[in-house]
Amino acid sequence: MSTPEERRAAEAANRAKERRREGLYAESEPFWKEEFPLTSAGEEYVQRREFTRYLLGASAAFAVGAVGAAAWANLQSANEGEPQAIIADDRIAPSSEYLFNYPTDKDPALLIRLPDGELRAFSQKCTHLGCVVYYQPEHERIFCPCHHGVFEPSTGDATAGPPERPLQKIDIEVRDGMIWAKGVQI
Amino acid sequence: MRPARSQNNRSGGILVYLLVLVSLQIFLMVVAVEGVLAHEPGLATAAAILSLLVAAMAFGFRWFISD
Repeated sequence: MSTPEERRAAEAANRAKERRREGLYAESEPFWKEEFPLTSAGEEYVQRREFTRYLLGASAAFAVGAVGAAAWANLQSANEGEPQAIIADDRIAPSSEYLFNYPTDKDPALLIRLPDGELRAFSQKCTHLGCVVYYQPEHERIFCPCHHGVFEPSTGDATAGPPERPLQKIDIEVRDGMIWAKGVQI
Repeated sequence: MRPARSQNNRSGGILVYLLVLVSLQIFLMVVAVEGVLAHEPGLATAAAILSLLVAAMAFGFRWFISD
């Protein structure tokens, strides 16, 4: 006669033998895996394969995000702003500036009349970190006081300091004695 | 059955390769967002094209190694 403990041990041994026969566990597996079958065969291989799928999904998601960002950037460039009257042509003297907002009320902009009488308009946001730039006619430059960035007033190109990109240009036109902003060149 | 060691090494290599591609995707995504914020659609477009290429590489690789 066998005791209940011996019978339970024999049953567990039989179950383990069956599992080994079915290929669920290798002989070298620890005993606790037989008693606590929380894993399945080929667990690592399956999980890596699944993880690979997640990585591919992440890769596709990031690609979709990048395409969305590019589409957004291109749509922004298409939205150049509506024509807007700035100031009467005779109210801005040579070597002076006039501040206005364009294309929205939250976008500060700079209208400059150069010493030779030419007009230029730029966004007032420095292309370095977005500080407000202003015109310095005595030095014939546009200056950013935050990090001493310097821009060429006739072209908006960055000529000194940390900024590397030119100021955003605004197309202007003089019509019937009034200076108009026609759109932002993005 | 537990996979053979060579199988483990191979699948580990595949994982590392894909992880590198996904890291590259994160970088390209950041570049594309930078292009949006800096109003540089050319930069964002280039990043998006590269991102699509990297995604195609990842899927092509997955197709290539699939049984």
